[in-house]
Amino acid sequence: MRDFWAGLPIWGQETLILIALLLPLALMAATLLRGLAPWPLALGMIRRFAWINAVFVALIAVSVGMGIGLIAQERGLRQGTADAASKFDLVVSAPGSEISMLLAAVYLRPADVPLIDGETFNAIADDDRVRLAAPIAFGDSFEGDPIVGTVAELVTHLSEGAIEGRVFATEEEAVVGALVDVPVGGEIEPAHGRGTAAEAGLHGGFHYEVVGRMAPTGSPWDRAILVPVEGVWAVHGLANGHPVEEADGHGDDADHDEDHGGDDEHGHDEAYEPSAGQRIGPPFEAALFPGTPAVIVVPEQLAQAYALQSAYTRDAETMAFLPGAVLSQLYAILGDIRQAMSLMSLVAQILVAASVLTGLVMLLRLFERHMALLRALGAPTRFLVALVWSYGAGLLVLGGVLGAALGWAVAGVLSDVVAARTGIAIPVSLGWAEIHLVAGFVTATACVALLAAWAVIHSTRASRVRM
Amino acid sequence: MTKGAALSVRDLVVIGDGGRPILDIPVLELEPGTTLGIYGPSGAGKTTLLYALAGLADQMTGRIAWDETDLVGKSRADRAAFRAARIGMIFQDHLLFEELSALGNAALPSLYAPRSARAAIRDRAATELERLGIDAGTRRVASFSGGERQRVAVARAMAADAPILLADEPTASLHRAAADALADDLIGAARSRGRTLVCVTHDDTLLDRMDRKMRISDGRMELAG
Repeated sequence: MRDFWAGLPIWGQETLILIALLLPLALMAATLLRGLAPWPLALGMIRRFAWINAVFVALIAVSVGMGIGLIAQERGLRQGTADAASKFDLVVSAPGSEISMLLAAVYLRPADVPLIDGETFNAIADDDRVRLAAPIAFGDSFEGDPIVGTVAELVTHLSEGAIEGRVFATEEEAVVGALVDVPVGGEIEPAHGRGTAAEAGLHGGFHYEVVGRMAPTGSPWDRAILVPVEGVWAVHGLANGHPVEEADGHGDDADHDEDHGGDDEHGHDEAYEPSAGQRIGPPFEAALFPGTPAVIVVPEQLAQAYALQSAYTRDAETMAFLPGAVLSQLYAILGDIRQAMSLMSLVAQILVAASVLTGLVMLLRLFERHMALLRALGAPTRFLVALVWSYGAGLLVLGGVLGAALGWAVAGVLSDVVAARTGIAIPVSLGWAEIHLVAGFVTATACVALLAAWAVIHSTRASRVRM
Repeated sequence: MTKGAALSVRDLVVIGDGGRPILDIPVLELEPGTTLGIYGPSGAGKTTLLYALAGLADQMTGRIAWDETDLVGKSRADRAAFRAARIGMIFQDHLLFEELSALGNAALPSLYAPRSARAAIRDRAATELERLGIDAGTRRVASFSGGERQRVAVARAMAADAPILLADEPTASLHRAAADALADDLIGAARSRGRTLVCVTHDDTLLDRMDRKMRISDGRMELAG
């Protein structure tokens, strides 16, 4: 039996669980309704108090929708953040908070973080196990979208080669993310800093030319403008990592602790002097390497990520982490919160269902004479129970289905909000967990409705027909 | 052709909610097809008798036999099944389902009848409505007049082709003309098919058209004609 279960595909298991959840409902319906046709009367009861019934259905739908939305959104959030981080196998940075670095390097939420120097960078880049070591540089933005300095290989890696146009080849060229509102061939004037602190015109009228656009990645990088890292360094008056073209003399005093988070005023009033034909990309001269807050590392083989992680986890020098592993820890916390919230929403659903059923029982008092009439006419008890139950179960099923739709819509709206704020694409779908929740809710409440129906009918005596 | 049922009541005692006897009928015999009018002061036990004859009294002793079926010894479910198959009931204030059409109300017994009998019940309900001059269309009964509603109730009582009709003050909520028309319909329904009719009423016009009359006072029969 266990082997049979384990041998089933996931959808097979989930379908069986769904069937198991709905089976009691189907059995109740089949047993109660066999040979009976209470529909016209049940519909009549629904129509008689259409507004009250609509409120009942709405209450059920909202309570179910909250539960559904919560589960769907939490799963979407996990999936979306994981997908956004999937291209980032390993990140090496200066020691500090892994979560801060994760937010900075993967989700482009720069924080004030220390930099790692050229020697360390070159050690990583030269490691045989490393296929790609990409430095990143923050500090500028364009109309709210971050400008990220890096190397061409990272652009290719992130977009998996799906680029409209081409990758940047000089310091003055840029590749934009899918959601950046600048066409290929357009120009971008960097503003110093980001958000409300951004200051335009500090970079002496320097412009990037957009030469390519990445296909959507579902990550905050869709809103980023990727430029050669040398360009960002040079614009900020730093060395650019290459000795031959080293022109402005600032390279030697590159400050490794310099903050690129957005509010430094160091040397930005100088006009940038482009030097045509300047080489971009690795290798970098260690002494002329201004520093990078993080190195995005892609190993030759995925399994080597762990070896590289331990190799570059060095006290007081570098810290290496797998974004996926950090996310797992976050999800563990998120999962706990979700469980607490799921419990609360479940309690809310139970309370709503209980009040709705109580309301229905009170409403049924108004139908008492009609129940007594049916008894007097000779309708079997099962018919009366079936009538009351199909009325209540009808409202519950309707509320459950509407709730699923509502939850899905709520999750969609929340996803749009999160996507607009973070650039992380949150996939919204009705998963098995939500379908199981609705099925379980409807079946459980329909069971309670059966008990309530039986109690109501049991207390209805045919003599009540005389009033 | 429907044929009325014979009624034989012996030593019937109905116990009220307080545990005291509220009706005592030593003997009552009706030939098939007889129409019986029951009258008497309010609260004397007329309706109690009618409901006992329908098998609706919760506590009773003695014997109520319709043909050979004694209702006293039967379970609630069996009595309900007997009513569904053999008894048509008409109530003082019509008691219709407002959301249904005339036909929906008249054919109400089809909802819990065996599948094989449903079509026949609906057909008979439609025929009876037509005979009673009620439009069986889709109009809901909520907009019907009192007379129309009571005629729908009569059609409902006859939809299952029951040999027994039990009526509780059928004309009480109708004005004179409507009451006389309904009396015609009720007597006609009984006579045309030889049904046995027991009717509790204060209405002398209706009462005078019955084969037999019986006065009930203080839970006992006083006169039997």
